[in-house]
Amino acid sequence: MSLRMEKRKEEDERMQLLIGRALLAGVLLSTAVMLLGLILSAAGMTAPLPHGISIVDVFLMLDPRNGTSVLLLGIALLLLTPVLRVVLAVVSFVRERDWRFALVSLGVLVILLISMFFVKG
Amino acid sequence: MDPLSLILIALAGVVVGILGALLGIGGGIFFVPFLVIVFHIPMHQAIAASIMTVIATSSAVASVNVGRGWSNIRLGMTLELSTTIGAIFGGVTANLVAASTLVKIFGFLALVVGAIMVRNTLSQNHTETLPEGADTGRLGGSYYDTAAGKEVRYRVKKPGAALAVSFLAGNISGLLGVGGGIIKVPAMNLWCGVPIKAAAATSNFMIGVTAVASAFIYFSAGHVQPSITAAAAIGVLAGSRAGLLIGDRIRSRWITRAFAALLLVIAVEMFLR
Repeated sequence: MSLRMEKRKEEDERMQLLIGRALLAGVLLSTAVMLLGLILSAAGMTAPLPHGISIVDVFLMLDPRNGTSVLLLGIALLLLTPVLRVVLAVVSFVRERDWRFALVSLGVLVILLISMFFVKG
Repeated sequence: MDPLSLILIALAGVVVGILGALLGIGGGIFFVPFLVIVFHIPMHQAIAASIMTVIATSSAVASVNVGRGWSNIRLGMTLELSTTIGAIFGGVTANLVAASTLVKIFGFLALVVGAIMVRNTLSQNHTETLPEGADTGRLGGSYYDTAAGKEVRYRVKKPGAALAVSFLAGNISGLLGVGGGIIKVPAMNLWCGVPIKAAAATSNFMIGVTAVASAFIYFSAGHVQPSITAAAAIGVLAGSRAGLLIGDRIRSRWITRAFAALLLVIAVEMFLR
């Protein structure tokens, strides 16, 4: 194996480890928040929120005494976990000076952001 | 929704999560019909809940696979360019189409998935490994196969075909709330020469990002019902963990065929609704 390929493999492994940890953290955090939201809702601490609010609104309108609001926070965190994965991939490829794949990952990130902010169902 | 129903949905999620791990599929193909047929949840809400469980399991499983070095991030990212665009089209389409039509399209997908599952039990997977030190190209990769006790190296053939299949898989994912791995994995393996382990791990890595692209659309359309979605995601996560622990021990082609038959029943049920 050439030195270049060995180095690439080593850096890839570091990137995978970092991304793996971030994913696990995101899943655990969002699950904990969703559980809390379910418990609050079961305890009757819940109030409806406006229909079709955005991900940003979920953070702005967070009310710790409203189970629905906490549930939506957990869901938003779960939704943002794969986005974080793509951000980390962009950063890692830039650090490796692998411009081609930094650009590919950036493209994926742009598509996700377009879906998040501009595409309405 | 009342607490008892939510607990039942979470338990169903556990079963679906275990099933998914046993059959090597995401589980959405069983979960959506379950929510619609048993709990009478509106189709769009069922799809939205399922797409969230897909994100949860993909993220959880990818964090395990990473240590094994099976997933190919360069290939995954490249194909995500087309899965995410496909998923956006799928999500937009789903919101334009009547629930009854989506149910019928889902029934058709259940048939196709059942057929692919049976086909997978009939043929050996196809792995061609390059000699040590050979160039794997920009998209290729390598991993250490502990079962075979050697390093497997591969190039990716026909990247154009992989992008096209990925678009289709993303489209179906966004339209119907499934992961789409069942379509991508055989295509990557048979057409592109990616070993099955690398294809499955890479597909799983991609599925979460793909699902998010359409999940935002379901979210903004107000189809994400918070308590149903949370109960489903937690249940499926727990089930897929349990499934990973017992998975390799009782995996058999007869279990796969039995559930392919169940998919046939689901397909008929959804056609007749």
